[in-house]
Amino acid sequence: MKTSEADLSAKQPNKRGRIDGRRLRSERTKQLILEAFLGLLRESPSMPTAAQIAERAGYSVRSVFERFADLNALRVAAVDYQLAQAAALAPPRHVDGDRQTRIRSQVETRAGTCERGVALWRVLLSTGAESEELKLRLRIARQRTIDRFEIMYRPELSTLGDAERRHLLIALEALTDMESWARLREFFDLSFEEACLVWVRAIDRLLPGTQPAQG
Amino acid sequence: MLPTAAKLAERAGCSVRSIFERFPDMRGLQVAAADYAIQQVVAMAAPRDGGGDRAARIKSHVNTRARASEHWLPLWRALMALQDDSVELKARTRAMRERVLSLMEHMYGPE
Repeated sequence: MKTSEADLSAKQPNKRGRIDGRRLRSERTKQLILEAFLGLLRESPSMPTAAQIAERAGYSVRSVFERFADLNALRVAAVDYQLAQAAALAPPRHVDGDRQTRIRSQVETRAGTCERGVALWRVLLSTGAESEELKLRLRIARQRTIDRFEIMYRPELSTLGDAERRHLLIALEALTDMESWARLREFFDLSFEEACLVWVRAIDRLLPGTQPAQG
Repeated sequence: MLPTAAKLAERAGCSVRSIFERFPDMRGLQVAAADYAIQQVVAMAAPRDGGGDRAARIKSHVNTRARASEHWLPLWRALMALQDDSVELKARTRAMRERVLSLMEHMYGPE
């Protein structure tokens, strides 16, 4: 049977469309499985089973393992998903604002990221200690926080020498760690706003001034 | 990684049965280990230089806290991982944090 170019050009988009449609559905399924996993973690701090994840996502256990080789691969994918979400939901804002505006903006952004991410973070610390892939992602997440400090507090950091600047960045990263946020919210029972205020005041005290001292 | 009863017995040079003659179960042993650690931390971290100048007090507090953290970090991590399933262990982590706070209140009273 001969097929004209016109026939081909008419058929190809449909075929491509089917393939793209399948790929899109598969990606959507993957995303729903990841959302199910993250949702379960937010409700309970322990690692959910494949059966629980499948049930929450509305798929079979087999569907889960068709998309993720094992539960560690799912954890790694969940971290990548959350890192991408954090980057999308938390772009730097008020970079050129005054000191108080920048501190408040950075703290609120970081607090939002911690509020969304602390459940996954804890499971990674308790179950992913031996995974090189997860260790790499923890390092990336921490480096991103430091990169953000460098953007937001450039005027203050530029007044410091290399060693002092590095020490301050390490202190700021430790201060605004996921576990630090969890402690403010759960152990000290602070509201989101109160916990932000604790960070705002602490960062304001840690950052140097940008004006030469008077007198 | 939490050690098994067999590993503990081997390290302690006793039988597994000896462990369970002294502790009702692994959770009982974890709680006892936490209590033991708290006593040790309290002994290690007695406040010093509380009447010194600002720099001396900061240095003294940081040195004390750093030594305790360096020594007890593995146990602390285990405690953090286990506390969600145990009211007793949760109470111990709370007691440790309260102790850290009260030590800071003592050291930085003037500020």
